[in-house]
Amino acid sequence: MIPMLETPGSEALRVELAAFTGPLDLLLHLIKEQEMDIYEIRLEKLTEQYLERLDKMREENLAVVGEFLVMAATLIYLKSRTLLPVQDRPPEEVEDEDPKWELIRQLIEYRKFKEAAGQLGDREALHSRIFGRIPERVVVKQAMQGPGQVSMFDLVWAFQKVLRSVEDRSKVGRFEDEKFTVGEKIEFLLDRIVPGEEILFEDLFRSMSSRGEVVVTFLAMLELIRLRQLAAVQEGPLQPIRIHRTPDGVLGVPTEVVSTEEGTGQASDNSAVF
Amino acid sequence: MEWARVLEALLFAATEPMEPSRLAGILREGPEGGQGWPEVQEDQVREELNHLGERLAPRGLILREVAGGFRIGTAPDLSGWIAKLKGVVRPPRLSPPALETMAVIAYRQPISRAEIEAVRGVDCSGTIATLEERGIIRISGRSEAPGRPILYSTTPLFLEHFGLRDLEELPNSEELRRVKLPAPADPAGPQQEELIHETVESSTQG
Repeated sequence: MIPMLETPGSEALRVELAAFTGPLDLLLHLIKEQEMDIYEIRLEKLTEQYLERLDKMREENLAVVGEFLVMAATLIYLKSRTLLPVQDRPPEEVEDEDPKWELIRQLIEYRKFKEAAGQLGDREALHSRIFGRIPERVVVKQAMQGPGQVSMFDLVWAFQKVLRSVEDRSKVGRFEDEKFTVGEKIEFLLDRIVPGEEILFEDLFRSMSSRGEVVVTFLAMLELIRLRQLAAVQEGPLQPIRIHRTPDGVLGVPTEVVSTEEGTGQASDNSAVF
Repeated sequence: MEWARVLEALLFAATEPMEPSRLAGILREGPEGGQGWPEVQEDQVREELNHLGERLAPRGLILREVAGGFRIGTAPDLSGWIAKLKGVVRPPRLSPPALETMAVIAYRQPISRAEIEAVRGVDCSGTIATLEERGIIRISGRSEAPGRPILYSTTPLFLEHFGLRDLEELPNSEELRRVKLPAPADPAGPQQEELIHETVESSTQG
């Protein structure tokens, strides 16, 4: 049994079985294969063939999906029903038409949609070979989340610009022994940016001449924005970024600020909050 | 037509199908800070689009009418060449099960998952998710039926993907739209439906 699985023949069968999209598809295939008229299906033969296929699927270790088993149960039920004399059938079914017709109707409906699916597939094959132009680049607008908001990318972009200008300025000479701390720069920023006033992002760095100082100051700014002490606003894409103190951000000591976070909610409506 | 050049340029630069009415509107309005052709009518645009299609036919481009508008594309026989270009990706084709679900939705929209499954006889949640992800179908509402199930419909992208002008252009649409679907709650249905749910549950556990 097991060596059989390796033969090319069984490989072909495996592909064939996997190709059925569902129990109705398999039934239609069997009806066609047996050259049956769909209106005059022979339940006995069909059930036998169907179960045989399921057995093969199991031998091939293909997962026999629940729906295939449901259909097997339905077929066996329909077949067993034909064996009962009419007077022995459950009373509610006697007057109803043969439930076999329910299955036949379903098969006919399904066949129509299967054919339609085939035609759609043909159209798809043709039209997937036609290429139209696609939008060229992500529009700048998409980086903005709304009027006034500054995204992280906008800030980093502005920061890079500042860094470049600092590098130009510091070409003359470098003082490597300068030490800056984020804490110091937090104090500097809170000092520099008066509540109720705005300052241009670039202006904050204007006096600085070393790369280290600019980086540390930027980190301090991010920290203050995170603590909702500062906010960054921008009129539109590529417009200058301005920094201001948030209404509740009067207190200078960050540790006290954390508890007021809830209260600053309204400030986040049109300014950047990370 | 003196505006035929403009028409061609608009269609070339557009990244979505352009309706003749929209094209006519642009032509009437004129360019940025300039004068247009206020007398241009939609049917004149249509006529000119036909001419443009004829002019393009012997070349490497085609003009197709899809999703209610017109779009310039590359000729289908040249697809192998286009594939050589960097960054051009051919949209993957749908699997046979997905195409079946697609067909049922296309002809019978808006339709619930249970109704699709009644036609196909299999669980369709996977194929529905695929089609929704691809943007070919969307949730279009809720049915009044018990449980208020979600209903699915096709999107304009569906028309573009299959190169259809509109839903009327679907093959055999007359017949397939009339077809009475096997209702999920048919007299013979309930017992079958229950069975399906049972096996689905047991298969997810296993």
